[in-house]
Amino acid sequence: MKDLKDKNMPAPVVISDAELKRQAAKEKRARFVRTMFSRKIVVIGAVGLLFFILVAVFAPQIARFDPSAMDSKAILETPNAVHWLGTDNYGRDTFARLVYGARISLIIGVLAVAIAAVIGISLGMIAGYFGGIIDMIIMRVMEAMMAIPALMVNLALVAVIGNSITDLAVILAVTTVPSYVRMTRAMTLRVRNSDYVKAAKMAGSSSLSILVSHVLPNVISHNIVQVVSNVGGTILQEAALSFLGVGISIPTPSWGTMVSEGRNYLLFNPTIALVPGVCVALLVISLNLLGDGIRDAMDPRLRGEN
Amino acid sequence: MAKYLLKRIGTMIIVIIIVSLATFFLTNLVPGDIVYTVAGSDEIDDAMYDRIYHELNLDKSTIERYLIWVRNALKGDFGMSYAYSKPVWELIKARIPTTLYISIMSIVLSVPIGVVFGMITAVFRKKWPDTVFTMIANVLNCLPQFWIAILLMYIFCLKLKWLPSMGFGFPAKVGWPKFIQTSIMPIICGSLNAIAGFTRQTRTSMLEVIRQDYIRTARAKGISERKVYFKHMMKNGLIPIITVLGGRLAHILGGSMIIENIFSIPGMGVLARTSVEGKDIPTLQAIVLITTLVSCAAYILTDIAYVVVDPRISLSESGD
Repeated sequence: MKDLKDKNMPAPVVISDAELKRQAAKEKRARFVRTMFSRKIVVIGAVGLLFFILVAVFAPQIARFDPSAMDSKAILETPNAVHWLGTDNYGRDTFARLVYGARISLIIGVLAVAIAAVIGISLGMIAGYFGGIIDMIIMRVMEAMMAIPALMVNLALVAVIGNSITDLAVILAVTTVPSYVRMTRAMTLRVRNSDYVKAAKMAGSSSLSILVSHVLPNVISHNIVQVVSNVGGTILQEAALSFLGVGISIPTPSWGTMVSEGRNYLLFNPTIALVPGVCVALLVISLNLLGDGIRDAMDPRLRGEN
Repeated sequence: MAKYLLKRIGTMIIVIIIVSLATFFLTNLVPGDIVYTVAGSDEIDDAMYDRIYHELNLDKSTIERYLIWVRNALKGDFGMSYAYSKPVWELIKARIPTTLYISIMSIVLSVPIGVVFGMITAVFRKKWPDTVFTMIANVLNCLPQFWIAILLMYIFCLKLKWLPSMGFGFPAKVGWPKFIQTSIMPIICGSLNAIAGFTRQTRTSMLEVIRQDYIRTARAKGISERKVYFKHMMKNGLIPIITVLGGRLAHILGGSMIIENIFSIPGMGVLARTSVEGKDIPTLQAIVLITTLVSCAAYILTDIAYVVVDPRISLSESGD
């Protein structure tokens, strides 16, 4: 051993384990991003989503009118130079309402899915890890929630809870939770009997620390795909609720509400009702394309096959 | 099989009990004094108030009221609707055929179209038909149903004036021509989303089947391409379709809410919305409970269908 430390010898390149791991992770991330964006449709999805996010963020700069300012002199105007997409029955600028509507859709979509994912992943891990009676109770409740059509659950909950932005996010989250629970539980069951979990148990780690440091990293990746496509689904749900007249409270410009209000004036100005629907579709398509891309990039078996 | 089914039915009963508990207690949280809702006015004297209070069993505890409600519901008595002053079951019974008609026709229309689309995408994988039909399915999946409905309405009712926008009724009431005219748009609307679902599922499962050894064997035996596709691939590739079909059947009563509301079709969906708006709690409770029963039954049927169609699946092993 002594001669190894001879000063004449070139210093061996020492790469610590941590460094190796970091490099491997970096490589993996780079490969993931490369695969993901190698497909055109994923790029389209990402650009589309970015576009809507920018519109939502810079809504005050983009819109030239206040979305809820009524103008009795400009009622039901068809698209023109001042009001690019015309005005509705209160003389409100459709373009401004559309731009601000992006905020509502994105905020509710992201908030609802965030709530659902946190609750769903936690419950799924608990059900899968502990099993027994806890598992039984959680899964039966989830099955009960899935047995009722989502729109009906949402409708009933709006009657009970209310229809502010946070109310709606919570309500829409309720119907999304079960899918996270099921998926997380299935993956937790797979991890539960693995050697490293057994080793951690023997080393005396608490259940909480095992769940957080060993189970969570394994279940989180598959949930990411679900998160992205769920945001799209939730935005559609919110639009449907608003359309039925039980969505977000009235003066706030929501795309669903706009379609609902505009349908009475289809003959005068069809853009009020039809354009917001196109926006919902484009945003949801962008999210789905991105979600598909992430899924394919994560699953090597799917890469380039479908 | 019998043992598995019993277990499934047992689970479903637990699920239904949970749903009934949730519906009952949640609807009891609806803000506002329910007595005034029932009376239909805020200005009633104390005697009237007391009478309604007792009629609704509000003097009893919530648990007692739940048990009374369940006992009556088992007998088919869901109480009186606050809004219509009629037994709830009568209201629902009158609307079930309409909703079933729209839902079932939508499924009937979407299965063949979706399966054909899916077959095309799988057979022409990575060629232009695949791209086109996959894109159609993706777009159909993302378009809001209410928006498609309004677009159809704008084109066919307002612009072309081919179809009436409302006034749905069964032939006995409005005659065959009107019945068919008013059915077209709701059924098309209801099927578009399902077509997307069936297309995607067919494509995925067909691609899985294409790789199987027995397909290679069939080809090696010299069986014609057409026979390989229609006999060997379809037979096995279509089994997963049952899942999508089961999901659709599960929502046969509660899934057409938006369509019914747009085309003014007097079904369960319209009743559900008006009962939420009017805080018609007995009606809402009954609708939720009945739609749950139907969807639970649909899920059990799906499981049975799997075994019947695919003998490789043994239910006793798949139970987790």
